[in-house]
Formats: sequence, structure tokens, C-alpha cells
Amino acid sequence: MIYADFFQVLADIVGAILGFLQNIVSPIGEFMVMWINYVLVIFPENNLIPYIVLCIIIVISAIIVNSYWSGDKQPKHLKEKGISFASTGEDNPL
Amino acid sequence: MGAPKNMIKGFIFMGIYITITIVIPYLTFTYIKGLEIEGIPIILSQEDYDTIIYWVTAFGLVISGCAFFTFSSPKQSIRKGSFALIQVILNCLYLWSYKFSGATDIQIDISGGGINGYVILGIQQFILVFMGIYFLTITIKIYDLVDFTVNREKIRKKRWGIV
Repeated sequence: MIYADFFQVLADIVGAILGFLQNIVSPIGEFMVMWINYVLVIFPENNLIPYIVLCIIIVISAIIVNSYWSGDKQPKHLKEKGISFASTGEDNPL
Repeated sequence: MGAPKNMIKGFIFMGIYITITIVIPYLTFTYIKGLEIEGIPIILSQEDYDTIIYWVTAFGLVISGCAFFTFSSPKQSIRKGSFALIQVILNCLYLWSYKFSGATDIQIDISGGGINGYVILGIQQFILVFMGIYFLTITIKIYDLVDFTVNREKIRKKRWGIV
């Protein structure tokens, strides 16, 4: 019974928030739905292989990019060129 | 943070996204499919179930891959900003694919025990509101990306400890 009351209160709160947001956010949502419907047409149906391949490609490219440029230190090719990210006006700013 | 740490972080978040976007929806729909209320079986049609699971898996995979790229990238980097934006857009497609697959208007047939009927779960309005919120998220992500690009020099100097 306590659980039922709790869920009722929760549902009322969520309902109130959604009711308040509906008039503002729903029109934007409809716009989103419009372009999403166009985009979804290009996604293949009943074939998971393209998605699996895409996922693998993204992961492998992330690994490669991270190996070459982890972001924690200045890349060698920039150091060799003398690009120092100095503030404007100093030597060789990027 | 070095490359291995970046990648570990990426794999952890990829795992989280796989759980959220594929495993949990899969288990939920599988549970609903075989659910019985007071001995009355609730029948989610096999076709609806298959379509839902297909889209959930398809977009879940791509979103998880993007999550790996996003979370394995350095903080405030342009590539992190770009993939975070792509990920949000994919999240919209993922969410809308529930509607596309019929999951926002699920008809659950209840039969047996002298009762015949059906219940329709209509959550389309809820998704529309959610889409509106996603639009605002996309706007923020675009702002982030512009910010990372414009302040690239400053961000890099700070990250590399160059005064």
C-alpha cells in the first residue's frame, strides 16, 4: 500500500512536470521527429552487420587516434615545427 | 592522462552504454513478453518484439561505439565535442526508433481466465517531450564544440602545462 502511494505521488509529480513542459517542449519535439523521420530512412533494416561494422570502425579509429594523440602532451610534429601555443605576439604561435 | 588510461575509460563507458542501450531494454522487453498478471499471460507479438530488439541493438551498438570515442578523448578536445554531439543525435534516433518499431504504441493482448482484451501503452507524447529536451542538449553540445574550437589554443596550453 505504501508502495502504491509512493508510485502514485511519483506519477503525479512526473505528470505535472511533463504537463508543464509539454506546451514548450513538444513543438520542438515535433520538429525533431520531422528530421529524424527523414534520417531514419537511410538506416538499413533487418541487417545488423552494417551497425556492427560501424561500431568496430569507430572503436578502432578511436584506439588509433588515441595512440597517436592521447592529448596529455604536445605532439612531436608540432614540437619539431617549433609551434609552442604561445600567446599572441610571441614566436610561432599556432 | 595517457593513451592506455584514455582507452580504459572509453571501454568502461562503452560497457555502461551497452548495458543501458542494449542489455536493459532487451531484458525488459523479454520480461514483458513472458509476463503474466494473476495467471493471465500478456502477449507482446513476436513481430513487435523482434523489431524492437533489432533497433535497440542496431542503434545501441553505434551509440556505444561513439561513447567509446567520446570518453576516450581528452577533456575539452574538439574530437570529444564532435563525438558527444554525434552521440546525442544518435540518442535521438535511438529513442525515436522505439516509436518506429511500434514500441511507443504497444498493444498487449490479455486473454485467458474468461477475460479477453488488450491494453495499449501509448508513450508517444512522453517521447515528444523528451525529444524537445534532446534538442536543448544538442544546442548545448554545439555550443561546447564551438567553445572548444575557438579556445583551442588556451585549452591545449592549459592541458600541456605551457605557461
